[in-house]
Amino acid sequence: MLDTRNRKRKDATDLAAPNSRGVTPSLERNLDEFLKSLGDVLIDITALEVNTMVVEQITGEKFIPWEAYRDIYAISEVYLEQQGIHKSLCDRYIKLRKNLELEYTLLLTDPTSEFYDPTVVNSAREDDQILTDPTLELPELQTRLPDPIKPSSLEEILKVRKVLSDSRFLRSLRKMSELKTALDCRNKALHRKQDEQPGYAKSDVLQKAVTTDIIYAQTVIQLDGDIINRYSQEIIDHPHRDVILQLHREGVTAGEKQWRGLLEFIIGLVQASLQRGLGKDLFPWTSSKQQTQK
Amino acid sequence: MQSLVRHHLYRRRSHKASDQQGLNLEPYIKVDKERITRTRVVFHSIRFNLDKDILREIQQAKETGRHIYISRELLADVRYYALIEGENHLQSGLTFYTYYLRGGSEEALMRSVISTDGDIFHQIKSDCLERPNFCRQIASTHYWLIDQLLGQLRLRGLLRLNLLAWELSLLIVAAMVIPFVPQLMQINLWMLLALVVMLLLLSIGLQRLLRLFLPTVGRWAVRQLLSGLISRKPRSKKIAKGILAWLVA
Repeated sequence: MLDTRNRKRKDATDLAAPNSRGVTPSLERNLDEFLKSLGDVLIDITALEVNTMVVEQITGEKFIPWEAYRDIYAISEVYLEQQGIHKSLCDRYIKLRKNLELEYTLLLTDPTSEFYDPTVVNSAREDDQILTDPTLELPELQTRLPDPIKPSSLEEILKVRKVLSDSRFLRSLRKMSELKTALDCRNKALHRKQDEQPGYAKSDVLQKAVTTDIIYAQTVIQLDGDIINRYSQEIIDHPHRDVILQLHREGVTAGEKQWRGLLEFIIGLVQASLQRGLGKDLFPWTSSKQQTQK
Repeated sequence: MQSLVRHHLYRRRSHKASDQQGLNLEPYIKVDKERITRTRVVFHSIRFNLDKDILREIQQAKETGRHIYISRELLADVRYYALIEGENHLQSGLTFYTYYLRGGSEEALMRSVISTDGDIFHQIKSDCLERPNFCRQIASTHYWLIDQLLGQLRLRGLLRLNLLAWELSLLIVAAMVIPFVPQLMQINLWMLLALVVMLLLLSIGLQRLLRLFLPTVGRWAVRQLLSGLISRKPRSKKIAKGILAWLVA
C-alpha cells in the first residue's frame, strides 16, 4: 500500500511540465492532486461505520473547516472551565483535542505526505507523547498545530489553510466536528436539566435524565466481513429503545447501500481518468501525463 | 394559501412527469447552495422537504419498486456536491436533511452525514421517537431518498460515447454520399445495391475505428471535467458541470 502511494507521489512531482492544451500547469498540478486525493479515499477505507444518534434539536449548521478547526484547537482545561463545560463531558472534549493533534502528527510523520517533516519523526522517537503515550494529559502536550486563534505570522495562517486543504485531515476534522457538536448540545441539555431540578446532584442520575445527543448504537463492518456492534449504556433504560434499535438496523443496511453508490461514483471517475485507451498517442490533447499515471 | 396552491400545482405537474420515468420528487429535493461571490457557489447540503401526502406517495413507490426520477440538472448538482467541497477540494462528507411540514411550520427530523471513507452518522430528533410508527416511516423514507440519489450518481458516459460513434459514422458516410446522389440515380439498380452494401461496410469500419478512440475521448472528457471542477474560473466550472449533466445514460 505504501508503495503505491509512493509511486503516485513521484508521478505528481515529475509531471510539473505543462503539456495539455489550454490547461495551465498549475491547474494540471491541482488536477493531479485532486486525483490523488480521490485515490486516497480508497486507501483510507478500512471499514464502514454507522452511528445512530438521538439529538434534541437538528440545526442546519454548516461545516466550515476553519471554524471547526479553531473550535477544537481552543480546547484546554482552562477553556473548558471558562466555558462552563459539564464535568462529565470534559474528558471527551479533551480526547477530541488530542485526536486533532494526533491526526496532524500522523501527517507530519507520514513519508508519503506533503506535510512530512523528518525532524518530527526524530523527536517522536525520543520523547513524543502524542504518538506513544495514551495517558498523556493535555497540559503536557506541546502542540505542533498551527495556531488559528492568535497566528504569529502570515506563514502560520497559510499553514492552517494548507492543512485544511488536505482531504484526509478534512475528513477527520468533519467527524470530530460532528462529535463536538453533539457534546456541545449535550452540555447544554445537562445544564438545563440541572437548573430545572437542582436535586440532580449526582452525576449518574443526571446522565440518565438527559437522553439526547448520545450515540446510542454503532456498527462497524470491516472489509474482511467482521461486524462489530456497540451500544451505549443509556440505551438499556431508554423508553423507545426498540425504535432506536430498529432505526439503527435500517440505517446500517441503508448506509451500506448509500455509501456504495457514492464509492462507485468515485471509483468510476478515477478509473475513467486513468484508463489507458488503445488510441492513446493519436490525439494531441492526450498528453503524456495520463500515460505515466498508470 | 398561495404557497399551498403552488404546492398543489407542483404535485400535479410532478405526477404528469412521473407517469413513465419514475417518481418525480424534484420540487421536494433542494440542494442548499450559497453564492459566496458573483461567480462562486458553495454547496452545503441536500434537503428533502416532505409532508403527509408526499410521504405516502414515496411509501407507495418504495413498495412497488419504483425509482425516483432525477433531472440532469439536479443530478449534475448532486455529483458536483459529492465531489467538491468549498472551492476546489475533495468533498469530505455529504449532509442530508429531512424536513417535515406540518400545520404550516416545518422542522428537521433527520440528518445524515456520509463521509466518503465510510463513516456515517444518522441523527434523529428525540421527540420524533414519541410517535414510533411515524418515526419509522420518516427514517426509512429518509434513507431511501439518499439511497436513490447516491445510487444514480455513477457516470454512465460510455453508453453515450458508443451512441456518438454510431452517429458520427453515419454522418461521415452521409457526407460522402450526398454530393453524388444525382449521378447515382442514373446508374442501374445492381450498382446501387452494391453501393449500399459498400456504404454499410464503410459505416461499420468507421464505427470500429471511432470506437478505438473512445477510451481516449472518454478519458479526455473526464480529465477536462475534473480540471474544470477544481478550476477557479467560472467558465471552466460551467463547462465541467455541463459534462456532469451530459454523462447521464
